[in-house]
Amino acid sequence: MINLIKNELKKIFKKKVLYVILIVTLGVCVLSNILNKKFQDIGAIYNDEEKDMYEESLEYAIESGDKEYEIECRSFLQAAKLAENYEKGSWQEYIISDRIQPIIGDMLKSQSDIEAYETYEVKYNEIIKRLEANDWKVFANEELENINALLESSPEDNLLKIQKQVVEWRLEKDIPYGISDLNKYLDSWTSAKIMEQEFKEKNNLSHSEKLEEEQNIETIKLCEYAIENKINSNIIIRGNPDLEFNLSYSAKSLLLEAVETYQFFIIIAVVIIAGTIISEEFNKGTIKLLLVRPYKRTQILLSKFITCIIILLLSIISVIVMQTIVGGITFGFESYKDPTLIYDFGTNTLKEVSLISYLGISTLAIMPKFILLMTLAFAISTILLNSPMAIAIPLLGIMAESIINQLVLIYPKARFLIYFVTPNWDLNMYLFGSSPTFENITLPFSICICLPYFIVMMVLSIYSFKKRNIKNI
Amino acid sequence: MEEKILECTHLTKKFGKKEVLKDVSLTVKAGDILGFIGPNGAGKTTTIKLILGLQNITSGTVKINGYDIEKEFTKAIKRVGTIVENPDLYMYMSGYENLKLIANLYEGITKERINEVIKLVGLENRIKDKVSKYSLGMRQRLGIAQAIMHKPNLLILDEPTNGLDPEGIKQVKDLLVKLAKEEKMAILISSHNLLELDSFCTKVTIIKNGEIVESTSIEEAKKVNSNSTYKIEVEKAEEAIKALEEKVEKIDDKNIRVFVNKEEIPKIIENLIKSNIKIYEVYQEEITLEDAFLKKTGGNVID
Repeated sequence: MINLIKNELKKIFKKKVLYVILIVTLGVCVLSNILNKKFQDIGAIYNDEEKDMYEESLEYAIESGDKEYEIECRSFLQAAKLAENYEKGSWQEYIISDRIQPIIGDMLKSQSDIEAYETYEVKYNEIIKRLEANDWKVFANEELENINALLESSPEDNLLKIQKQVVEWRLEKDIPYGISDLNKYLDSWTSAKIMEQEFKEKNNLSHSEKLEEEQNIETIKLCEYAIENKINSNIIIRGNPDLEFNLSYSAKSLLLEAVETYQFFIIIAVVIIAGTIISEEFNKGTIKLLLVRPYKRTQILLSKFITCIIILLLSIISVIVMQTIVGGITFGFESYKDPTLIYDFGTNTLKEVSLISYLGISTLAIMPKFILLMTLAFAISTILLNSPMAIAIPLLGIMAESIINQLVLIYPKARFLIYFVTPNWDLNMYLFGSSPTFENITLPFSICICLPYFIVMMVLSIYSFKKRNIKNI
Repeated sequence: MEEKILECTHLTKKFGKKEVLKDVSLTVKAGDILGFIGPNGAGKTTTIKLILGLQNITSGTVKINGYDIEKEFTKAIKRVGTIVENPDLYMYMSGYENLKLIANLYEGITKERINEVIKLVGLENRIKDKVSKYSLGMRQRLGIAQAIMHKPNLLILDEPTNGLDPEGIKQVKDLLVKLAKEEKMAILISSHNLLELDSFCTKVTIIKNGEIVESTSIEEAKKVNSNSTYKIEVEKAEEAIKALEEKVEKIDDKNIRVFVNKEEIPKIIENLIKSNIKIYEVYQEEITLEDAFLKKTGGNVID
């Protein structure tokens, strides 16, 4: 048996197909890392793209005589010019956009009213002076004072409380204004807290709302952890879109999602191998070379199946290694030292896990999907001896997945589709005690749905392979 | 008594309602080379596939070294070497890699043994090349190498001389004779051309339309073929026939066929010259053993 598997692996590695897929995946990996990095670098508030845009808009506004828009463009451009004196993404830049730009706007508006203009100018000069003093805490303290003053008049205002907490954190943890990840955690925490209040006020949450609420809790806890520990980079977000969108990418955040991001390539590699491993030998006549050896047909078939599983594991590992190296080169390797955090909904605590075990668990959870698609290709290849079909049908299956899963989510009438395999084969939704994507399903339920599909396909493959007459070619 | 290596009894194979093999029985003993002859579509390859367990047997049994192929497949097939139909090998690998793959599936095939076999089939110089660059003849040689590598005691070769040049055919023949004699191998070799086989087979079995029509030793078979025919090209066939007393047949206006032994040919030519008939050409017609049998049994019909 082991010799059979070794032979199958040798045959596969002699062919070019796997290497081609590997190179394509590497290309996509490098490109997407570079694009992510590029996207992130634009992060400054006054970047060149925006400046160009406003300059064009200004010309348009002057032509069309839209005074208000003209002022908006002018104030942006003036503020941008001012920001050129400071570092990109610095706290000064933030203050310019948050405080000075509106004043510039007011000054432009009140050019005919000299008295008003002068008051604005005084304000403007004062802020500029403080900017040059190079102490952002002055602004933070001012903000805190303002909030406290407002709180006195309406002490139960939730939004003000949240804002107060943010400023207090800023001062306590020494987080200057700007676009750093810590600022993004503060922002995300603010919006998540507001959302939390909304969820509390609502009764009878629907399933999708419950999922959102869970995610919200996760966001709050993660942000709190990051702020408390001053982690200024992207820490684990298990597909949490709230945070994912806001935070900058790091080599590690991309690595944690590598298997999911590149799953299509993994599936293609495995499906191509599984879809040809039997049918190609029949079509080329080489199966006779194998069937006249002292091995039972079942042994030959199973050794081929095990070979496919080995290829699956190798593809996953190569995707992980690839992202580790490419991500490290693009974003720097430091982020791999960051903690890997997950929020456990069972115990309602934030837990730190090792990077390897997180990758292992999340990969294991998506395995049913990979294995079922692979077995489908394998079974079609064995039963119909048709390689193109054996490759095409599982790939169609991935497309069907998104359609069917959407139907289950949206239409209550399509609920019966929950007994289909696609809503059940990605067990990541059950990880760490979170509620599954679909209502009222459980882990044992999903396993009970997936297993019969697998068993039926395997039994049919074995039966047809054992009984097959080797026809003349 | 020599031991029976391969024994097929009353083999029948049906594809749906169509019976492609009817009651085929065969025995090959150690040291025997059995020529399995028949026209295309007669059922040679099907018989071989039944023997090797590549197709299900409708009725009858196949025993190799005493083991039933259907019930004890792995034991029965263990000491069999074979090429079925074409020598289909892994085209994207080198000849050596192909042999290595197959060697992995048996116990105790050493590097020395692989090299020995490569030398035996004369592929030393090209063994590192990819099989896709091989000619059919070279693939045939590689096919023979993989068939004999694990020292089987039953060798089943389906048209092994296909694609080989005369030199190659001779080498293969010599190799097979050697294997049968020295290693006491039982060899079953199929072909549609008996002439190619008669020089070294010890037995022949002829199959037609799924039935065995003749199964005999090579000496017997040769007797049938002893009367040869000659074709003579003359000016006018009619006149030539009148001039000859021997058994003669008109082919067309200028050609006649005579059924005589070699010794009588000078006399016939003499007679024709005496009768003033112009002779352009006299040559022996090659009637193969197979032709003789086919004549006896009528043509093969592929249906």
